Amino acid sequence: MAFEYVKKDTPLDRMSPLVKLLLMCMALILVVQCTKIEYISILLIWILFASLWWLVGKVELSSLGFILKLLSMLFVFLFVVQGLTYRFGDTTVILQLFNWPLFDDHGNVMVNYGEVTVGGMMYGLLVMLRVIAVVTVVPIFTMTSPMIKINGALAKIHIPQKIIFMFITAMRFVPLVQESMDAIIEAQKTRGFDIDSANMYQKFRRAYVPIITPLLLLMFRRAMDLEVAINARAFGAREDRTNVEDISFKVRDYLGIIIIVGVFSLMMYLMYFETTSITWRYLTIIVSTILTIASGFIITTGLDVILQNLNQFLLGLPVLNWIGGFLNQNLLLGYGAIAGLLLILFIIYKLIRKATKKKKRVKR
Amino acid sequence: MIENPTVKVDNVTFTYERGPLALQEVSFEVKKGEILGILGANGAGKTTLCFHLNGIIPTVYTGIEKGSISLCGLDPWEAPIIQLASKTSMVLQDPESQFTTTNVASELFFGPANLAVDRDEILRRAAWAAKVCGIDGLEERKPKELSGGQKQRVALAAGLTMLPEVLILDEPTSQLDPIGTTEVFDVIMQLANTESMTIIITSHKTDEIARLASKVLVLSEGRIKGIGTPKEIFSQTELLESVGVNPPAVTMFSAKMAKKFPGFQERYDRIGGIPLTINESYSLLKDLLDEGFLQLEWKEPPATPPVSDKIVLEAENVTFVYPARIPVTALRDVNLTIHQGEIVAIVGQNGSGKTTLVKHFLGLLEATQGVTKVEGEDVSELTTGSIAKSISLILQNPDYQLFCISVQKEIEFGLKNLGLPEDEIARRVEQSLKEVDLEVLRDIFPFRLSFGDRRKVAAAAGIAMDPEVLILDEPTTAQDYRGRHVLCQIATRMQKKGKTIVMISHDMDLVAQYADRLIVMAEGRILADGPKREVFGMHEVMEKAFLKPPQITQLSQKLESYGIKKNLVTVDEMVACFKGGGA
Repeated sequence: MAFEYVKKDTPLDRMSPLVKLLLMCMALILVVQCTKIEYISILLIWILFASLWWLVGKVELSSLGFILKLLSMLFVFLFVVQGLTYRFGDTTVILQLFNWPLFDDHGNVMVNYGEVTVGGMMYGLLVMLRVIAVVTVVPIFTMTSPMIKINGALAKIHIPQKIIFMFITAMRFVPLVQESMDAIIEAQKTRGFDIDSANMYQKFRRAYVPIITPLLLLMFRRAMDLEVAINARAFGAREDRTNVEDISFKVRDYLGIIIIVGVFSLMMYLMYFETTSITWRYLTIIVSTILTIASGFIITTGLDVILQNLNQFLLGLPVLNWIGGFLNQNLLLGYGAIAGLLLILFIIYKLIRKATKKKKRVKR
Repeated sequence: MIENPTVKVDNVTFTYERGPLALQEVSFEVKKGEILGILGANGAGKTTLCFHLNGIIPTVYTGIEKGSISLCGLDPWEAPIIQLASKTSMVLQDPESQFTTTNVASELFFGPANLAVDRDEILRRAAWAAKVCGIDGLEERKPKELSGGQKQRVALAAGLTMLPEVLILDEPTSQLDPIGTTEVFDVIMQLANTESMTIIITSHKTDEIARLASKVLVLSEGRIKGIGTPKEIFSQTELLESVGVNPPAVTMFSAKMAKKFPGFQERYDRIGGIPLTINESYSLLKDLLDEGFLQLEWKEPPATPPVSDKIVLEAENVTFVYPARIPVTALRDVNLTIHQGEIVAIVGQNGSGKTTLVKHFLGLLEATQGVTKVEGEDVSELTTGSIAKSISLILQNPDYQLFCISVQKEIEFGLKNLGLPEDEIARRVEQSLKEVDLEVLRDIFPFRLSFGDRRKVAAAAGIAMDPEVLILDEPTTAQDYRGRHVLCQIATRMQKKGKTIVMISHDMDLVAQYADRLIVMAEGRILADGPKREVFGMHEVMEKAFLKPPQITQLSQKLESYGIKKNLVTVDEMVACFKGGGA
């Protein structure tokens, strides 16, 4: 599983889980307050800060990739919905998907819900970054803290043992459910039940019954057995349960708290007291510098002429000009048709990949 | 000094709430430092009895109880379970379900930490328990990184860290290979002798119980059928068989010999009772042969039936690597052909690659290198669903596959997946229900059946698919003597109809009785592949794979100088080789 603890002996490993819990709480508090597009810059700084923890804790990047892959559909959805509905900020239209104007009393177009605007895209980006800012700190907690330490640390702040045990059991059951599910899928496959070759509709309609039913029954049985197991070993016998793990606060824990609180306060200062929104200005400067350098490079090498010609040529083609027309030519610096072509090529590539995936044949 | 018994059970009768009568008028005593072995078929009340001795009944499960129990002076119905838990510790049947934490070290700390034992003392106990149980060095492992056998050792160690006065073990070695089983039982013996711990143990492995128990109790349908020393109990072979317990093979052999040769019984009675171990049996036979009371006449055991030329399963240079953070090579260059109509047993330790190999034939895993073929067709090109027509797998744990509302529907599920017509489905359901003898239970919700019956349902579902190859994965797990034979007998009947049977097991007695050919695996490699009698003779291979030949085979190897020419595997084969002497 992607989020399980693996012993790595890094400073983060030895740090108290409470510090990492604090980091998670701070991330949540910060994100709740980030509601304006300008705060994208603050979120970026926070994500940069979180990724430093990843480096120190030697947490695998692959687990981040795993989360992002899980969330990728959500991100696309956010971009489209926000792009179509958010009507503040820059209202330049990037793409007109369809035409659905709303008129005010005088018959003027108030808003067109078929248009994706720059402001909407920016807002989509903000929401996406908010999700990422929280999600990136979760593995820092789960992947660098052994359960026994979490247990000790929570007991230290006087959380009742029963609640801690519930929490730990829940964490432990996640991989267990995953494992059991894999075993059940394999078992049903050997009975000629081919879930992989069923289509989406079939999957939702009936395919999960033979998998979910045994899983639920199995988990109920597991829960009963667990009750026997913990009772057999005197769980809850004494209030003053021994903590085997040393969970006293060390220098690195205090240092961690100071850093977290420091960075968080800085973010708060930038958000509420820094009236010139300096971070946002720097961000726009950086982005526009990159763009200028890139376009400068294209112009000096003479690529722009070739690209322009190609664009014109593409616009001349029957189907492409129809798609190219959807995209805002001005915003894309006149390369709308090329952008459209790339998009189409990407979709075709995906479809081909899907179609050429090794097909299995039926046994004679 | 007369001591009070540590455990005293007096006339206990127990009925589960909304359930069956589980125990009837059970009385016995166990003294400090004694080892009590409890024998009985599945459902005889062994686990219920164990639950009585550590307060699980009445704390977790309740029911109507008559009679009284005294445990180190405490009454489980009066004293809270907490108090009991410091006196008695129980290791449960299924090591999987009793893992309460996330790694081995914290598992060992869990019990004593609950009792608020001093931190240094906990660490000391954990180190000791890990060493005694042979799991030191695994402290950082997670449950899923342990083999079944290792999990069982962890469970035992976790029970030990509570330093109980009474240790209750419910099937502590059901998932261990033969060598591992002997090791664990040695630990138990040592605990009783050096720490004078009182130990109560249930097991189907009677040869080990016979070796170490000071007292044996036989349960059947909740009643005590016999209690006494191992020799007293195991000499009553007919009683044991009638309640579904198999005596150790050498004991069985002696009992059969006594029937065949009048006077044999007097001879072993003179030396203190029926032989329970190979050495006892050997020295008795040696004396009798030397005296001339018995004579050995070599009788050729039935020859291995010839195999057909048709190859059903084939593996060519198969290597498989489990993709993980640290990739694990599970199969290394495996070559194998299995012909139609064979009964093959794949044996080896947990984690030796047996199941991984079988999964390749089922199309559940794809070889990293090499080719696997089913009936000449490359598995990697086939859909898993269509392979199911040719191969059925009967799982170790039927709960992974049962989900329907009735037994009949359960069997129909696979057939419907194959897209068979209605009348064909009905016909096959009838036939397979008859095959496993579950016709009366066809409308019952499978989950309400006993474990043994659930396995039968799974088997019926497999048979109904009418496969060319039937694979039994560990037919012995959590099964009593009768249960494990039922599955194998079904398999044998299938083989008579021309099907191919592959068994995965580390129960050597079972393998010896049913299989013709053995494939020994260790660390992902095939160490030996040949007729069973030859393979049992390869001492180095067996040792490397943590296996022991069955008792009868070991005995026949010892008797080689007297004219036993081949390894014998069953009691009857052995008995047939003896005839009365002139004297």
